[in-house]
Amino acid sequence: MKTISKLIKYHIHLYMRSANMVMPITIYFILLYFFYSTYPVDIVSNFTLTMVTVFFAMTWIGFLFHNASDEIQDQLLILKIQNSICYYLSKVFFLLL
Amino acid sequence: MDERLLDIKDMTKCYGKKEILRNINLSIHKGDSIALTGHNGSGKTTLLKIMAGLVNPTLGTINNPLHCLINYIPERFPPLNLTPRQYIRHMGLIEGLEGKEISRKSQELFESFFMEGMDNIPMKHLSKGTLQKVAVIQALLRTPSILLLDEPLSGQDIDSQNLFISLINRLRHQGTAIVLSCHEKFLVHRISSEVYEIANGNLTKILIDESSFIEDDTRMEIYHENHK
Repeated sequence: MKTISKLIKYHIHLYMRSANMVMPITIYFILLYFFYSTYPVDIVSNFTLTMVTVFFAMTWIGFLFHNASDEIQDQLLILKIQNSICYYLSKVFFLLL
Repeated sequence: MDERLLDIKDMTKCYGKKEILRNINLSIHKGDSIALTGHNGSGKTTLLKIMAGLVNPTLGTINNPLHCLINYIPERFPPLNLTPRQYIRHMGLIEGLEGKEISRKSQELFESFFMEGMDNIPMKHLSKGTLQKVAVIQALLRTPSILLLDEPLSGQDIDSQNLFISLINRLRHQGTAIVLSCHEKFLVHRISSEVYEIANGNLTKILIDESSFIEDDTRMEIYHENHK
């Protein structure tokens, strides 16, 4: 578990240094602005739309994270911790965060 | 020195229908230094990755009876968005080292590899040779039992090459087994005790041709003289 938390810290540091998060979050907030600034505000349909937008942004972030990972770096990390399952679990937990 | 660290038995690796490595048998002992030579695409990197356990063989077995630590220095190191210092710190923590120990070791290695002033520049802005040094440093944070090196001198300057060679020889004397793939004869001569060639998927032990090394070393000396 200790190794996984260190790996998650590494993923967070690496991901925060990239600009990968900027576009999904910007688009998310722009869409939210449009949903809630149009009158009359329909609460139920706007909630549905928000959920769809969150799902869309999270999928986008997930794809960007997957694309940004380098195969060689993955291999080096797996070699260091000597457990590929632990490494991929750390990626899953990072995405869950 | 006869402690067996890794055993490869009747190993074959195929990609699709193409046989890259055929019926490979090789034992690596403590303090061994093995060079793998061969043309580009002959399977040197694949063999190193199989030794590291990063690629599964199609047939045969790889035994690591002592569960020894294997570190790998890749040929192409990814230009990440972190600085070398941040990256090395993360690698040290992931390997289970203490913060103070990582700082001390990394400082020592950064200085040895003439990387002062470059350790706080994002790695994506560094040259290929400097990235290669970071790759070496991450592999030497903890002394491995087996060190696998894939074309370790590519892009490195002469001083760093010499330092690298003395560092590898020191590790070898401490009992680390070295397996490297390379094209430079002078490196093979100065580091390796055994040389194997991979051709047409077969691994063949070759005798070290001293005359060619002398010629190569003379060429290196001339190069050193010209670059003084």
